[in-house]
Amino acid sequence: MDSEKLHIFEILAKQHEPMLLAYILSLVSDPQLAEDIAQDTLVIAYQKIATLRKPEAFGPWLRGIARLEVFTALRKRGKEISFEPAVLEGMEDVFNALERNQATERWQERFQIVEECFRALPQKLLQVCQLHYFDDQKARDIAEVLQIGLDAVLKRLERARDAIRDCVQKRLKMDEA
Amino acid sequence: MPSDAPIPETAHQQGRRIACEGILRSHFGRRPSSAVSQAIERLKENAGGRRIISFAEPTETRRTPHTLLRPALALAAGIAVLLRLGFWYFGPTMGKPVLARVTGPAVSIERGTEFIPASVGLRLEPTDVLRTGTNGAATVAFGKERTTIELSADTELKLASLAQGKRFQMRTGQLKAAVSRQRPFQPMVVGTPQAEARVLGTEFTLAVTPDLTRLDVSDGKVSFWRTGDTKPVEVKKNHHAFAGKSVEPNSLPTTGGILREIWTDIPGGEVNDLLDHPHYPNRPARRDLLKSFETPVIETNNYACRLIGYIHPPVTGEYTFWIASGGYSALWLSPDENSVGQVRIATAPGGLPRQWWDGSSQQHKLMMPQSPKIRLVAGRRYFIQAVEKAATNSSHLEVAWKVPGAEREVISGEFLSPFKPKN
Repeated sequence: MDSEKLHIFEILAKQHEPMLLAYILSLVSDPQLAEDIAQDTLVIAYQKIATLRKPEAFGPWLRGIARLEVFTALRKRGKEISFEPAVLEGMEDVFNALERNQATERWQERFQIVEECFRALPQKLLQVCQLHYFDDQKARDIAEVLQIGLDAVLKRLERARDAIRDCVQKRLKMDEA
Repeated sequence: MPSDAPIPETAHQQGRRIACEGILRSHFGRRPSSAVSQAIERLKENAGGRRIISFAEPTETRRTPHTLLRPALALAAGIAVLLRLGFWYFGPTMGKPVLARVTGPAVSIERGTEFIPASVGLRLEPTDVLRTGTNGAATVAFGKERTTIELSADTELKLASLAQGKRFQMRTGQLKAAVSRQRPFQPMVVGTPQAEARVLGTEFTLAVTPDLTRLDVSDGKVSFWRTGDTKPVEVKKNHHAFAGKSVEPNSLPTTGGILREIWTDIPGGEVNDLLDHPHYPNRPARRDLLKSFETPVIETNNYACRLIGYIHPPVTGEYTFWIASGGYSALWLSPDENSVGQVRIATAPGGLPRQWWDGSSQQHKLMMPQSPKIRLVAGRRYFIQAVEKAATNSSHLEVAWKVPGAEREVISGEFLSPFKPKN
C-alpha cells in the first residue's frame, strides 16, 4: 500500500471516529464493547482500504463494516439481533443527513445539533431519558426513583423520542419518508 | 380529543430514533480512549513493531490534503511567532517586590540565617521567607507594575526566584493576589505543598493548609496544577478549585448560596402534589438566592418551595444530613454534580418547629428525620435539592449536616452554590 493512501486513512479515521462510535452505540449500549468493535472495524477498514475507491464514501463504507462487526460481536455473546432493512435505512438517513451538513467539518459539532434537540426537551422528559439511556436504568427502577407510575415513565420516554426525532428532522430539513 | 395512546413507530422512524440515541450516548457518554489510536497500536503490533502506517500523532483538528494551503499556513505561523516575540520584547514592565504594607509586630522576614524586621519599603530578595504571624498582615507590591499580593495572618510565603517570572512558595496561610499582565511565557507561579497556581494576569485567593490548597479566582483565569499531575485545571472567573493528595482539582462555581424556587396556589400537602403539578419544575412563581440552606417562616396556604444547588464538602469523610420543615418535605442528594443520580435521603413530616433536631424533646429525637451516613469527597460538588409542600400550615425548610469532626449545623452558603435554571 502506498503511503499517501495510508495517510488519507489516518485523516479519515480520525475525522470519522466520533461518527463510528455513535453508530456502534446505536446498536450496542455497552461503551466498552462499542469501543472494542470500533477498534476491530478500524483494523479491518485499514486492511481493506485498497478496496475503497472514493474517499468521500468513507463514512458509509465504515458503517457497513461496523454493522457486520456489531452483529458478529453480539452473536458471539449469544445476543443476536436482526433489523429490518427499513430500520437500517432510517439510521443511514440520520448519518447521511449529518454527513451532508456542510456547516462544519467535525462530527462532534454536527452532533451538537442532536444534543441541542436533546437539551431542549422539557425537564421531566430529559430526566427520564438521562436515567434510561445513559444510566441504563429500567423503566420500573426509574418509576421508583422518581416516584411516578411505570406508565408515566414509558409515556415520557416515548414523548422524548418523538420530540428528539422531530427536532432533528427539522434541524436537518429531512423529508418525512 | 387527541388520544393519549402511543402512535406506532414505523421501522424507518425507528431507525432514525435509534441513530439519534446512539449519537446522544456517544456525545454524553464515557469515552475512555481513542479507538483510532488503539487500532493503530494493534496494527503496529501485527507488523512486529515495524511502523507500517505513516500516521502523524492523532489530532482533533482536520488535516487538509490541499498542499496549496501549507505555504499559507507556514507564513501565518511565522507571522504569529514574530508577533509573539515582539509582544514579549515590548511587553509590560516587570517590577521588583517591595513590602508596601506591614500590620502587626509579628511580621518578619527570614533571609539566609538572619531574621530582618519587616518594614514598609523593604525590598524582597530571592529565597526570602515572609511570615505574618498571629494577627499580622502584609502586602507585597512590585513598583510600577500594578501587582499586589496581600498576605493574611499566619501565612508563610517564600520568594523562590525572579529569574523566569515571579516564583513563590507558600507553605501555609492565605493570600489574595491582583496580578497585572505578566510577560508571555513568564507567568507568576505560586507553589504550595499540594499544587501550583500559574497566572499571567488575574485576581485570585489562595488558601493553604497542611492537607489542602484552595484557589478562588475572581477575575481572569489561573492554571492550577496538582503536584504530580500531568496537566492543569483551568480555573476561570468566579470559580474555585481544591487540590490535595487525594483531592483531584476540579473547577467549580464559587460558593455563596442556594437557589430557592417558590410555587403558589398549588393545593395539597404532599410533596408529590408539587412534583406532579404542571408548573413544576420550570414555572415557579418566584426565584431568589438564600445565603444558607434554610428559609424564613411564611404563613400562607397552598405553598411550595424548592431549594436547589450544589454542596461543596470541605473535607472527605462520612456526612449525615437532617431536614426539618413546616409542611411535608424531602431531601435528595446525588453521588455527583448531575441531578440524574439523585436519591431521596430524608423526609420530614410537617408541622414541626424550625431546626427541631436541636430540641430537647425525646419524641423529637426519636422522630428526627436524618439521612444515612454518606461519604463525600472534598474538592467535588454534589447536586442537592429539598422540596417542601405546605397546604395550610406555616412553611419553613431547613437542612443541616454534620461535617466530619465538626458539630451539626445548618449548611451555610460557604459550602453551597446555586443551581442555574435554563428558563
